[in-house]
Amino acid sequence: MNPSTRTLDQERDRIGALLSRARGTRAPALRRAMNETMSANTFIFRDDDGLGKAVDDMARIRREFDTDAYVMDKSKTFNTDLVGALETDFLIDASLALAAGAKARTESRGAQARTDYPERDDANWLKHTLAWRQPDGPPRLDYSRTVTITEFDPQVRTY
Amino acid sequence: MAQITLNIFRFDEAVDTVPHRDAVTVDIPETTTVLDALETAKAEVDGSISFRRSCRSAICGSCSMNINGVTGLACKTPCNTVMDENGVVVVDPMPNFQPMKDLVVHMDPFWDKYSRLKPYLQPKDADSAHDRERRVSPDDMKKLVDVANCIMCATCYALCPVVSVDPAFAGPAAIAYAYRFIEDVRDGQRTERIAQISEDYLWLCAHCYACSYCPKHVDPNDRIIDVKRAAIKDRVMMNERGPRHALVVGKTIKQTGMLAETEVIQGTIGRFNVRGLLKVAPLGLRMAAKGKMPPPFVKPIPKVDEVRTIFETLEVPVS
Amino acid sequence: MSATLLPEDLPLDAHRRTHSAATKRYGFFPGCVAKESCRELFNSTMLLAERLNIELIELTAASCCGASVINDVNRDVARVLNARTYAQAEALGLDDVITICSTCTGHMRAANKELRDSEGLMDHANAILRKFGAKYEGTVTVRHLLWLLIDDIGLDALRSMVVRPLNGLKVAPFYGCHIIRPESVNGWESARRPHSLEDLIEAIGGEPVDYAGKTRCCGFHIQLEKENVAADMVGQNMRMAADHGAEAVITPCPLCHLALDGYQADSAARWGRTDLPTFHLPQLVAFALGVPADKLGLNKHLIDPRNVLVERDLIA
Repeated sequence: MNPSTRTLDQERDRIGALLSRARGTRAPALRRAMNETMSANTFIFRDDDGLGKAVDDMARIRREFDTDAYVMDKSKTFNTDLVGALETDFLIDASLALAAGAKARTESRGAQARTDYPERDDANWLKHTLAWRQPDGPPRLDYSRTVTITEFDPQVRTY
Repeated sequence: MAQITLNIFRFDEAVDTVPHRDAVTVDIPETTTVLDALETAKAEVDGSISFRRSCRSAICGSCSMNINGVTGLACKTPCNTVMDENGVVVVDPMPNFQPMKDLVVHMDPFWDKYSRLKPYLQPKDADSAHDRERRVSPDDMKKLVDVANCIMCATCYALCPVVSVDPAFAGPAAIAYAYRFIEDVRDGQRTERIAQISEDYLWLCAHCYACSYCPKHVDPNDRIIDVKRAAIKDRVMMNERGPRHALVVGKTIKQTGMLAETEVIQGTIGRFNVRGLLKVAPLGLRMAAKGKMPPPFVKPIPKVDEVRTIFETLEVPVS
Repeated sequence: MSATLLPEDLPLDAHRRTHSAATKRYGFFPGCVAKESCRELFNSTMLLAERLNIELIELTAASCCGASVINDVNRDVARVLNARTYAQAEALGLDDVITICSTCTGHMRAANKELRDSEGLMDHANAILRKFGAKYEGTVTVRHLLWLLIDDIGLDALRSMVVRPLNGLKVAPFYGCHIIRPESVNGWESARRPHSLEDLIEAIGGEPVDYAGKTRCCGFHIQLEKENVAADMVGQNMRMAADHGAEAVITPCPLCHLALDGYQADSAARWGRTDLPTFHLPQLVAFALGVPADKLGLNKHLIDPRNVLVERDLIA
């Protein structure tokens, strides 16, 4: 199945914008900002304040990338400046979805260890988070209750 | 924090005919690796500086480059072990490769030589059905462990002086990796593999140990010697110069206790190989004119029978 | 990139103060080429020893070290052949075997290391030596004459013995792979940035030339393998030496000497003319210490070294 013309145009524009801008913000600077907020706020222990900050920071970084990101290397040969910028673009999407999903999930489960909601809550939260990228701001979230359970029954994991 | 200056080779094959150099200074602790210094330079100063890298922990093999004239992994080289008194580190692409962009080179010849090995197990019993694992004893596995650590970084290939003059030479990594399958007891293509690597000029290895700088301690040179021994043991391509040379050296040592130069040259080329002998004749004549010809016969050393005892006890082949 | 060995990691063996050094009576293994096509190397070594007031006791019953090639046919024979040689040295009360060939140095040190590091391998060798009443106890160190000059004699003493300084002759060192690599076997100096030959050249009044090819292979062991490879292995290094201003080359290895002396003519087609005469290490040092030039066998070289000596007013 081939991508639609619209999809191809979008990708062409994405790459074209990075290559054509003569100045702006470089991806490594935005990646460093992303590293810092995600490490501070979505690391091992999470809480609502921190997660809220992560969502706001990532939304801001998302906007700045969209309007300002550019690459210094305009070459067509092995352009790692461009590849790095594209990676950063996609990491921003992933981080924003992660932060938004984590903030909404008012429980602890697996790698999500919330100090404000330390217990696992299967009654309300045994469901998958789905995220849709929005043109502005954090993603739209929805949920799927179709969770496939095979060998291990959902329960609190204790040592 | 220290001021480290990277003196970098810059080149873009699409637009440049000659390279130029850029000096880029960054503020980093002097124990930072050359790779991290390059990343900092790229992130903060010049985004067009190009180099391959991935794991930054000496396991992916991407970041081999020539640092201060010596090839190695940039992620494993702290700046303060290579910088001069002014904090300058000189960075170039690996030698023996065609440059593509800055520190990135065309790796194809290296991969070609590797893929010619058929670097995957071709089991003895490929056709029969298998309901259990193929077992290998710890002793048999031990032989393969070191060479299996090869990360294909091509440092050895870049350092090899024979590759520099003859691009047809398979190079240290390929020959060492051939060993990995030649000595794998599960593999059924030992003879074919030895023949293939012999044809790719196994015997052009000059034993110079330039490849002993392998960052993963694979010691390709020792593996190459292992493959040469396997070739002689299995009598593969015995009429070629390489095996002839090794055997005739052994023969003269067994007979006289010494390496008899004249007989070694004749024995390597072939006593009746007129064309071959004619090729070396000019040099021989020049040497004879200066009185530098080795004597045609070498007197055996005292107690040479002891040498013969050694050769016989160890069953050393001499032909 | 593997770090070069730090001084404290060097095998104690390489810089060991041997009993021979204290008594100035050394075991001497000239190797095969010094007795065949490079007799001038043997002769200048003995003359140099006289000047230095040291006794080199030739191990006349010693066999070839294996020349690194013999490992291609059998993994044990080199070790046992050299164990026999070391047993002979021990029988003469000597704990030091001096070599004048880089290949012998690397190869013999590798064999010695295997014997001394592994009781199993030492026992295996001695089981064979026992057949003719010999035994190796593991007390021998193998060193190149270059190391003796610097460790035992010392650069300052050498400097004071110079009667014919080289008048700034630009000499390119050519180490020969086996005296420096692998570092785990040799370890007397850094294999990546050695400087002993440069120090020595300076001490005898020459000007050392630095170039990347000084630690690269001369191609001796593969000379007969394929057409042109011998000339190319020599040419790629000598081109660099010449481009850096060298007038001559000095090498501690007769095999390198044969390659550099013999193949520069053929290398000219691809690499341009270089015509650099190649001195054996003892030749040039003996010359500087006043041994008459006509005793050093300089006339035996294919590229006559006397021309550069005349140019620098060192001989008539």
